[in-house]
Amino acid sequence: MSVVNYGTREITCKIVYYGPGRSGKTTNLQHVYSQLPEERKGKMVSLATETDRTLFFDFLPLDLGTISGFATRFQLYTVPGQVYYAATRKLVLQGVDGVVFVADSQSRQLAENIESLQDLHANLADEGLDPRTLPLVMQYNKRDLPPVEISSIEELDRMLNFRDVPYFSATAINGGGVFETLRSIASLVLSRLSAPAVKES
Amino acid sequence: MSDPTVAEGWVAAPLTRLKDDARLISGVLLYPTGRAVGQFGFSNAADVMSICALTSAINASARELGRQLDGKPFYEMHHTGSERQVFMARASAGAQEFLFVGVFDRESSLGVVEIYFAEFQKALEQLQPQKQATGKGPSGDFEGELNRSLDALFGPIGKR
Repeated sequence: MSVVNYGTREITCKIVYYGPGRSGKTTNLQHVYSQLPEERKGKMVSLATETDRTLFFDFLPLDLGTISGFATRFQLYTVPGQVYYAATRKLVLQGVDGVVFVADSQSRQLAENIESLQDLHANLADEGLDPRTLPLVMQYNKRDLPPVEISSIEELDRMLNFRDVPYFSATAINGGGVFETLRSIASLVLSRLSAPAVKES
Repeated sequence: MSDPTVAEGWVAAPLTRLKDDARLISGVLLYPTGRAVGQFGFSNAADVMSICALTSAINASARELGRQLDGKPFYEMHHTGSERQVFMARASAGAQEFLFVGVFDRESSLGVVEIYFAEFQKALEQLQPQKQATGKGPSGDFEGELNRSLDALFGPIGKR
């Protein structure tokens, strides 16, 4: 859960990029890392195999600056998408504040997308988190592939976006849609924090 | 050596003592989920977050490795580097478990660190994690400030 430390005036939020193997989760973080100024980011940590498949997670700390007097930081994680790393995905989801689901737009990957989304819901429920209310953004990646190989945005949205959450088409390999996605989930997560204050006032 | 920076004040005294007695260069006390409670030796918050993420992962892996190899979890780990050594272990206060990772060099030794970490564990056991003070959360022009900050960092939001 988001940590709001009133003593030190700090907010820390955890965002997890979830999705099937090779959907582009790590690529999203690599693009964010490559584009942000040094003073706004920490080192990107990648626990990967020799072939660069994510073994445990990728991690990127971001500094959003001061918002309403609170130093605001984000921790971006990816999970390993391969089916047999289920335990690792569960571990990385602990304490999550928001999820970006990175779907692979390729038509032949539709079943993997659905399986991964079901896996996400099951793991969130195991963590005591309500998959129906947790901030979530969908990203339909690899839109640069030939149209015959990919599902339409409408079809992906119909098959995956049950909650009608914000969705973005992306070509993470060249950065398309990466920051729009991140901005959207950041906004959803942080807006949640301000909700009690709005009620209070 | 700088004093610890703590997110929760109740750990400041035992953490300071551990740092001084065990002659640690740097150290972080964290929740097993990877959230920092207090640290010393780091000047960059992003570095602390990375250390916490990795320590949390190593702890989870080592526990499972211990279960599979030895029938019970590994709770303490030590790595000897060429110049510096890393020590990881757990402590608890009340029902809450914490992890600690510390770095030391030739000014200290594993034995010394273990002795003083045992004292730290005892000191922590005597304490109860204090609930964080609550106060006025993000309010005022929160939405406006949030949007300006996000615009500056990520650019304006794209079309859906």
